[in-house]
Order: sequence, then C-alpha cells, then structure tokens
Amino acid sequence: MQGLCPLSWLPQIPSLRRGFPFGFFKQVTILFLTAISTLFSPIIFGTVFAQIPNTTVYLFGSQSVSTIGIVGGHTMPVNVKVDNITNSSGLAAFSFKISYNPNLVSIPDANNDYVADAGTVSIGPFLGSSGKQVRCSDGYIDIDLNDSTKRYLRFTCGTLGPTPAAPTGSGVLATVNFQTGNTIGSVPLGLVSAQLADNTANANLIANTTADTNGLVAKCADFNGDHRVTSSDILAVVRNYHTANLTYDLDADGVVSSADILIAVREYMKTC
Amino acid sequence: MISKINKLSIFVGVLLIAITAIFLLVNKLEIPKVQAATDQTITDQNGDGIINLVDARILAPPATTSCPVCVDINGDKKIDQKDIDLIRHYINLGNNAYKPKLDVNNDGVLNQADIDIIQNYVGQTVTGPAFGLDNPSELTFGFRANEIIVKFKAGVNTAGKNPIFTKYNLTNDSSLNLVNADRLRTTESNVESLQKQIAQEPGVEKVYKNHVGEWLTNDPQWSNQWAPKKINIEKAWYGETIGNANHPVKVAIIDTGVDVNHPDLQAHISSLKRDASVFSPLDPNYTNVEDIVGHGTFVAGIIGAVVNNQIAVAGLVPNVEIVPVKAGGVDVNEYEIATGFEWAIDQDVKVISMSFGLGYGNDSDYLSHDLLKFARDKGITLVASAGNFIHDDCIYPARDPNVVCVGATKADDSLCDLTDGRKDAKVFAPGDAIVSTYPTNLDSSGIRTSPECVTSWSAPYIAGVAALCHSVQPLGMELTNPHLSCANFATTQFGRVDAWETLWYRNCYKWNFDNSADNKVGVDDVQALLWHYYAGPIGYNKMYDIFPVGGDGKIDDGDVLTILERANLDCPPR
Repeated sequence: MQGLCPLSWLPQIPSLRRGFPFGFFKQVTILFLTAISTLFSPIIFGTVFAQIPNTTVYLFGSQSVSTIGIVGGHTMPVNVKVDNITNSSGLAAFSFKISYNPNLVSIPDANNDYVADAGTVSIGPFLGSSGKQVRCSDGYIDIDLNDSTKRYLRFTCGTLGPTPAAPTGSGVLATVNFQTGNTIGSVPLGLVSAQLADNTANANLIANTTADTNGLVAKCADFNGDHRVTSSDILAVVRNYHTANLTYDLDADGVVSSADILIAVREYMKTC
Repeated sequence: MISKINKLSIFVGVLLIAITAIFLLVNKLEIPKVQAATDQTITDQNGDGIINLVDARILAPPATTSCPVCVDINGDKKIDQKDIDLIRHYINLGNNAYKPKLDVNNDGVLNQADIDIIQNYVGQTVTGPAFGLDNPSELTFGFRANEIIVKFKAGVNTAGKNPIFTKYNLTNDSSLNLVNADRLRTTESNVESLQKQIAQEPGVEKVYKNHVGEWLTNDPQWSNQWAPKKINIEKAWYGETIGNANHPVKVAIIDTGVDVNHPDLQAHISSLKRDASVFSPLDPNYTNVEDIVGHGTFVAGIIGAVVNNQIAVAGLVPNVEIVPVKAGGVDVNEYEIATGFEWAIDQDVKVISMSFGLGYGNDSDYLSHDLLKFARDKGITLVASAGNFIHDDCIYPARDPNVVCVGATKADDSLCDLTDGRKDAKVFAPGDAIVSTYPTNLDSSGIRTSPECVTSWSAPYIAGVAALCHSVQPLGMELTNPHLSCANFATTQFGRVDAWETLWYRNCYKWNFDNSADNKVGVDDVQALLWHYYAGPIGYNKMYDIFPVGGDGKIDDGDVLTILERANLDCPPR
C-alpha cells in the first residue's frame, strides 16, 4: 500500500505535526491525501504495465485500484483489458481463462449447468469498436476434480468475415461479474491463459504477456445504517484510524489501518 | 273439494316428473358436484401401504363427486386431451398394460367408461389444498403410508435425533450418512401433517414423503437392433479405438437388478453389486441383485451387452463395468433409490442410469436432490428417463438440473407418442422397438424386443454414450467444462443423439485448423472459421464447414456456434 504513505509518516514528523491542523480539518485532509495518493498510486501503474510496449492482457477491477467487492452476495466486476494491439490487421478474436477460488467468489450459475448466467460475462467495447460483427461463446465454468479451491471461467469472442478492419490500440475485452461470498479476504484472480488472434484468413496468434490481479472481499463501510457508503461513513473509519475498534476493520486484518480507509473510499456511494 | 285436491296432486306430480325428466335429459352426462369430498384428509384407504390416486377415488369417486385430481392421470394439473390419449393408449395395449392410476373408476379395467368420466372434467385444473395435501398432484405417483424421511442438519447425531423420534413415536428404519437422513416408520396416518410438524423441530433441515415411483416401460418382445446404428455408434466405434479394456468405465444402473449370469452380460458385470433394500453388508442378500422383473437386465443390455461375441445383442460400450444397484422390484420407492444412489456414488462410478420416475414435484420435494448435486460435483454423469405421460417437462429425477433428461424417439426420429420432456428434455434417444437382453430365467432366449416406445430405453442409450465419452476423454485432474464433456450431447436436427458427433473430443483435431497443429482448439482456430463466415463459392473452404456433420456448403451460425462451444479446449495427446 505504497500509495498510502502519508498516513504512516505524517504523525511521526514533529515539524509537520506542528503545522498540521488537527481535528476535523485533519480528517478531511487525510481523506483528501488518501484519495489523491490512491489515484496516483504505483499500484495502478504497476498493474497496467503502461510503460511496457508489448501487447498485454490483464485483469482489472472496476475501481481505480485492484478489484474490490462487498461481502455477502454483492457483484464484484472484473475487467479483462488489452493494451497495445499494434499489428497491422488488428485484433479479430480473443479467448481467456480466469482461475478463481469458488469458496470466496462465485460465477452465478442458477441452473447449475456450468454455464455462467446471462449478464455475468459480457463482451467489452473494444473488439467491436471498428464496426465488425462480434460473436461470443457462453461463459463456461470448469472445475478441478482434485482441488476444491479452484474453478475456471472460459470465454471466447471472435469477429465475422474479413471486413471492416479490426481495431488496434487498447481497451476492455470483457467484464466478468463475480459474486462475493460470505468470507472476507484476499481473492487471487489468475489469468490462466489469454489468446489473441489477428484479422487474417489464418487468424495468426498475437503474442502477449498476461498479468493477474488480487481482488478483495471486504465489509461494507456503512456505519449509520442508511445502506449506503457516504462521506460520514468514510470519516468514521478515519476517526478510528489505528484503534482497536474492529467495527471499522473492513478487511478483517485485526487493525483499523490505512487499507481500511482506502476500502471505504473505494466503496463510496455503493449500496450495501 | 277432495277431487280438486286429487287433481292438484296429480298435476303437481306430473309437473315434478316432467321437470325431473327434462333435468335428466339436459344433464344426462353431468356429474353431481360434492365439493366436500376432497376436503377429507387422505389416508391409505385400500391398505396397500401407498397413498395415491386409488385412495383418493375411494374417498371421492370422480363419477359422482367433484375430484379433478382423481382424473388427472398424467399429473400435469390440467385435465385435457393428453389424459384421454394416455388412457386410450393403454386401453389399446390390452389387459396386460393395466395401471391402477389410469383406472379412473377403480373397477379394475381400463375402458371407455374411464374416458367418459375424464371427458366431464376437460378444461378443469387441479388446485390445492385437497385431501389434506398442499399439492394434491403428489397423489398421481403417490407416497408410502406410515413412512417419513427426515433430513437432519449437518452435525446432528443420534443423541440429537432420538428426542424427536420419541416425541413423534417414530421408529428408525435406516440411515443415509451422506445427507444425514433417516427413514422412519410412523403410526400417524396423516403423513403431510406429520411432515409439517417435524419440519419445525430444531436440528431438522427438511422432511420428505417417501415418494413412490415406477419403471418407465412395459413388457418387451423380440425384434431387431436398429437403434445403435441410428445413433451412429458403429462410426464411433470404428473411427477411433474406444476405451481401455484395463480401465473400463463403471456405469451404475439403478433398476430392478440385473441377471448377472446372462451369457451376454456376465463378462461386463462388476464385482460391486447392491440390493438397496438390504441395509447390512453382513446380510447375504446385500449383494443379491436378481432381476425378477426384467427391466434392469434390459437396460443393462442396451449399455453393456458384450460386442462381437456372437451372443444375443451388442451394447453401446465395448469396455464397460456394469454396477447393478437393485432398488425395488415391481414397485420402487424414493428411499431405496436414495440408498442405492448413495452407495453407487461411493463406488466411484462415472455414469448413473435411471429409468424410473417419481412424479413431477419440485426438486426440493425429493431427498435425492442433494445426492444428485453431490454426484454431479464429483464428475458423475447422471442420466434419467423423461417419463411417459405426454408432458412437456420431465419427470423426477430427470427434471433435476443435475440430470440429463432423455426423451424417446422412433426410428424415423419422430417423438414417441407418450414421451415426456417434449420441450424440456436435454436430448432424445431411441425408445421404440428396442431389442436387448432379458433374464434367462424369465425367457430362455435371454433376449426380447420391447413393443413400446418409451423413455426407459432411451435413457440407457444416453448413459452408454456418456460412458463412451468418459472412456475416450483424457480427464486428467481438471474436468474441462463438464457441461460439454460428458453431459452435453451432439444431436441431429431432431434433437436425437449422435454418438459419433458427441465423441468429437476424441476427434478434436478436426477443429484444430492450424497448419502446425497445436492440439488445441485455440482462438486462432475459432477466428479462422469466423473469418470465412458466409464465404462465397471462391472463399468457401470445406475445412471450416463443421456443422452439420459433413457440411452444408456454407460457413454460417451453426458452424460458429459449434466452434465457440469448443473454444480454448485442449485436445487429448496424439
């Protein structure tokens, strides 16, 4: 959590502490710094690999940082993104397989047929952005007979015919709406495989690297009972910073830390 | 004065007779409606140990009282032409096809009189409560009188159960450990009332009636084997080497037992056997699966009669280990089914074939639902008959989402007249004029042909294809898309299974279009096909014309869907 450094060092530097207005203004300032530092956190850039020119496929939460979901059956959206499609014919098809721990998050499958329910896996805007017609498979759920902590989601989309030209550049390939369970904790999400194909008759594969992500299933930061995370809820976490009041320990790690404030900020305006 | 009174009396008398005559003429077929008849709580009226439509008709004869459920013989809660067609079908089969549930007037004969009664109810629907049951349609198949099945919450042990047994005067008969359920005897005649009371007890998760079912067929007779050829089994056999003789696929058949000494089956019978009505492994009858009905042996022959041994018939699976699970004789009940089911799961079988029906209730009404889910998660393919009552939906257990519901077709791929699952079946398979093995002590020839077109025989065809699928599929540790692998069957345009198509996985390379095959149906293969979508005569490449089998001269949505289903799957090592 490098992006939250100010919260760690600020109270320990006397000169800064002297000049720092405590009380409510302090809390607001901390919140502001938290938000700013979060937005420009190296985590973002570390995940995006923006500096790497290679074609990259990676998992990415709907929030500004890594994926977060509220415990207890809430949706936890994860985007599959691609950066730097630079080949001349563009991107005509993709296929990926994501691993997840079904004990922490699930893919809704109401009729238990190992096919994700409608709306759970959806095509992103990038593949069809040049006007090509897109066709996708269902979201297929695979299981591991020997490991109950592993399941896989498989999804494939392609485009019909040679014309119009296929898109280049970067964008969202698909969105997967995981559903949180009743356990708080870190959720490793792995991009087990990702294949890209170009817009030629033989559909050559486009070389790419992949990057995984870590989701987080956390408590909902609603402390005033209005079923919505508001600024007063976020300030309540800030007020309890470094206390043993576990009501505000959103990630259940035993302490109200900067991570909890960050979670509350990311849950801002969410309904619980 | 007296003569005037006499004249008036005569006049009134004549008037009354005339009114009565007119009433009878106008209403000669109308039945008096005595609604109160169905308000009575149903009990086992005829003392046969089962509470069903026969008992309902004793309490409320449908010819003289209003009892829609009494004439809803296919249990779909609507009184319509289907009920009439069903009874007419069995009338045409003759006296041997008698079924008490179809005998609307309980007179021991199926005839026009039963149809006449049903005619008076056409257009009516069955609603509850009636006979003290929230869902009176449970009477169509019925449930055991004086029995109840209680499923306890996880962790509730004997000490926790005993007070409940004592409180309700229940006698523990046997237990299912996997789902922590007990079958209990009771002297209470109102089963549903008891069911609701016990359900309120802490520690109890759910209480079930012990539903009664039936094998989904009639007596078979001699004929030829058209069905395996119809589903392309020869092409599947000879296209690839199917299965591994050292590791045959275990297929459990929950049925009336199997003639384990039948010369055409003996080599494929497992050492694992179970009579589910016997609960102690020490009892010598625990492994006695003698088939006194013939139904189970017939099913076993469809799946696993030895091929190319010049005896009787050829089954679908050359390398199979048949695990017989006897769960009843002429009759079948849910608890013994569940017992056999739990045992089969423990034997590490890959496929379970079920040719029986327990009615049309919700999944949660049946104890087996949790077991079926458990089996499915273990990678077991569950196959069951759709039923033979002209329903659009499937009978239980086929209607359970964990089970492949199999409807039945004739040689021309039209639907069997009686098949259920007309809209909901996941797949269809041959069910008409099927020839298979028969117990040699019932027929010395050891073989018969069924004159009926029924789903009892279509389900084992799918169980056989599923077993072939398991035999050729390199599962490894990861069960890749169970939906597709051994529970999703390629079909013709009629929905009837095609074994060879289903075994595509063995022929995976056909979808692997790369010049240097990478043994994977990759996104490059998918996109290469899509790139040729609707290609004209110049751009058409037959290689990509994968649907239907043999191609249709264009690359269209059928081809696209076919390859998208198989995308990102690894082929077996070559």
